[in-house]
Amino acid sequence: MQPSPEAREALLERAADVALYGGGFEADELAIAAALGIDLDRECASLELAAAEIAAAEATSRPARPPAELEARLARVATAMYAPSSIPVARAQLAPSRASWIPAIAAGLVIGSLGTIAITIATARRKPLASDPVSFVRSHPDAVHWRWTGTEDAHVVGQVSGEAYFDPTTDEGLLEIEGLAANDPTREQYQLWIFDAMRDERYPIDGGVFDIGANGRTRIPVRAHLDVSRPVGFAVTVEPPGGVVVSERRIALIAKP
Amino acid sequence: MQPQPNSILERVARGDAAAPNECIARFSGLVWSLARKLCVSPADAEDAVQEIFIDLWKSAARFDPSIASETTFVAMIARRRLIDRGRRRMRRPEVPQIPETVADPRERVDTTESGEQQVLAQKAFSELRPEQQQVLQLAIHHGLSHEQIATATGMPLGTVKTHARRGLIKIRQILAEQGVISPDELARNIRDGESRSEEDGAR
Repeated sequence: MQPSPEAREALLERAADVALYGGGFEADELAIAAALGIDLDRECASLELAAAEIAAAEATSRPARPPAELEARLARVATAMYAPSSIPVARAQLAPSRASWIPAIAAGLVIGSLGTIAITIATARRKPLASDPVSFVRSHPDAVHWRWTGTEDAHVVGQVSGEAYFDPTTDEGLLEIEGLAANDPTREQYQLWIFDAMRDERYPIDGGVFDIGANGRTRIPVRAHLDVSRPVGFAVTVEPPGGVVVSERRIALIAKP
Repeated sequence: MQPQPNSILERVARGDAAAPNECIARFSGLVWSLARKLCVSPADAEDAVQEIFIDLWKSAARFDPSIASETTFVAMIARRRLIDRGRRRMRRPEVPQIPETVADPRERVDTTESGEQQVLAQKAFSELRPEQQQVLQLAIHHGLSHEQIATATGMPLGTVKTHARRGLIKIRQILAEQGVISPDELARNIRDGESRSEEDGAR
């Protein structure tokens, strides 16, 4: 069957459109193309390759270095995906009960357009932080500490327990968490957010990402690289590997006074 | 295309723990440049770059040096992800004014320090008719839709589509003749893969 010039043009135009703007072909388009002897996939893919080549040439002719913080975040993602987790994990409870949703907005814990402010799960370049609550409270007498409450997020799989400890005089903290599902760090990670009374509540401080291993209770030392003047709450969200700058508010845990 | 032994992506695919960081070092500038052009904000671009690298590492095994270079593969993955993000959010970046370089498409950036492949691609682009260059610049580099391009340039919508398609076909032809890309290898690759239908969600 010989395609009419118009039908052929229309299909090839669709291939270029998909190559430039994404999307896909309708089943009937593919069927018509096949009947006319046009390989739409090949046409589209090769045009997409040409477009990518032009895009790459333009981008490399005007090189731009990404923010150092972004490169560091990418490195964290790479580590999460290609190296074994170094976060200590102990036993977890897997009771089916779930804490009820705490209205984050009412609690003042609004995770909206989150500004990334660098603080990270401690990496122990400096003096190691206390990794158990008793030691932490003993060495940080000014620390605040609040119990975690789970939301209705599916990642809350057990009886939530544990507390968030944070000392605003040293900007150091400790997370003790139990009741979250183990995560596959190649697919998603947990991300900590810290709310500071001195900052706009829409822009909590990014506390870095962490993982929960199988059947695990985790204790995670935290060291802020920026000053947290007066912490008023913590939240844990479920995010893509490496965490995000703008959270979609998938909150799993909240800790507040 | 000459195979690139031990390319970064091939090593990523093999699970070489050092390769992802090499990948970041080599391609983060490229991906960041692409993301900044097609994302609505720096924060959006940062998240997009992260998504792109994760996608890239997961897709590394699909890289075939006989079809295109690593740089092209990375750019293709990046563009797909950026386009998908734009479609998801249903808000393609609006570029109300046309950049000067688009107003005069024959004005090219200095390529004296560019790699051979980049020079070849830019040379291929420069062989297009000016109006084809203009349309493709707006579509590829600035993410404008056909309709937005028609509005920005005053060209009829059908003319915009024709320039886009013919321009891309010409670029493909030139790059294939120069050995920069290999559509024939790509065709063989596609036949082993999925069809690009909406129902498949193949993109």
